[in-house]
Amino acid sequence: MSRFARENSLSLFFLAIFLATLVGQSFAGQHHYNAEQAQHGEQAISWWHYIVTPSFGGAVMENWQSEFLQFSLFIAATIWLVQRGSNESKVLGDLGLESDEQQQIGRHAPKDGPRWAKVNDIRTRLYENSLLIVMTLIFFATWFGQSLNNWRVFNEDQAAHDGTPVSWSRYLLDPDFWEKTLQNWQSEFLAVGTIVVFTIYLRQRGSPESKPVGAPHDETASSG
Amino acid sequence: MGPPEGQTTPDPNSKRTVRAMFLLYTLLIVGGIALYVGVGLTQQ
Repeated sequence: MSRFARENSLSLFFLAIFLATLVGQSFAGQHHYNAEQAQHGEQAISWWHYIVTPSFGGAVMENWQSEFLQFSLFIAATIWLVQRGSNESKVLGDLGLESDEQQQIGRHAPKDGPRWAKVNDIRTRLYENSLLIVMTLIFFATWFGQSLNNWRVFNEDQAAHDGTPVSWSRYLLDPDFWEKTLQNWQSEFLAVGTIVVFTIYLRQRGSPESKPVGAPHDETASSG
Repeated sequence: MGPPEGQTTPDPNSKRTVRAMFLLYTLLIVGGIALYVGVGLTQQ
């Protein structure tokens, strides 16, 4: 294995399976879409056309937003909330934003630390929250994308059934939007809660997502 | 002082490829959002 592949294998693996499943979703979605087109006596569309339809865009954005919400909430909640014994929690005594020394800020930053961590001014305030800020921005952008695309699909359905088209702001109050949103959120919240609780008692040897196999059940944050 | 336990000092090439990975994921997300916000805004 090349040095590049060895040093980036985790990102490369997830990139590869992301692209493979996205392409798989697009082909399956196109077949489903065209089957519905045929039922309504309409023409089938090409794959290239399908991937720029609101139908596919809505399905992609809908799933993206819930993943980024999950991580944003997890990043924020784990600052202030803890679970005794969980590998996904910090220790009970470290609640909150922690000291500059613990966070290696300003004069506590190592020589090769990020420049914005050393300056200890407004840039540090921004940088110390940059992960949460960016993940949250992606969440809102993808949720906005979901709302626009699903709104277009909703109005296409309305038109096909002699219904009245609705405005985007009206669609935001429609049960269709909230059903599609909440069905994604609930599964993410269950998965996060489960990893928090299951890492108290269950182990996976070799994974940083698990405590070491022999770590006591009531030991919190054993893998750092 | 040497690098922390379990780490080696990355050479400039490694730093470049790690940065490239960060940029690739960023581009993928920004591109995906731009594409589908665009689709949602324009397609009737």
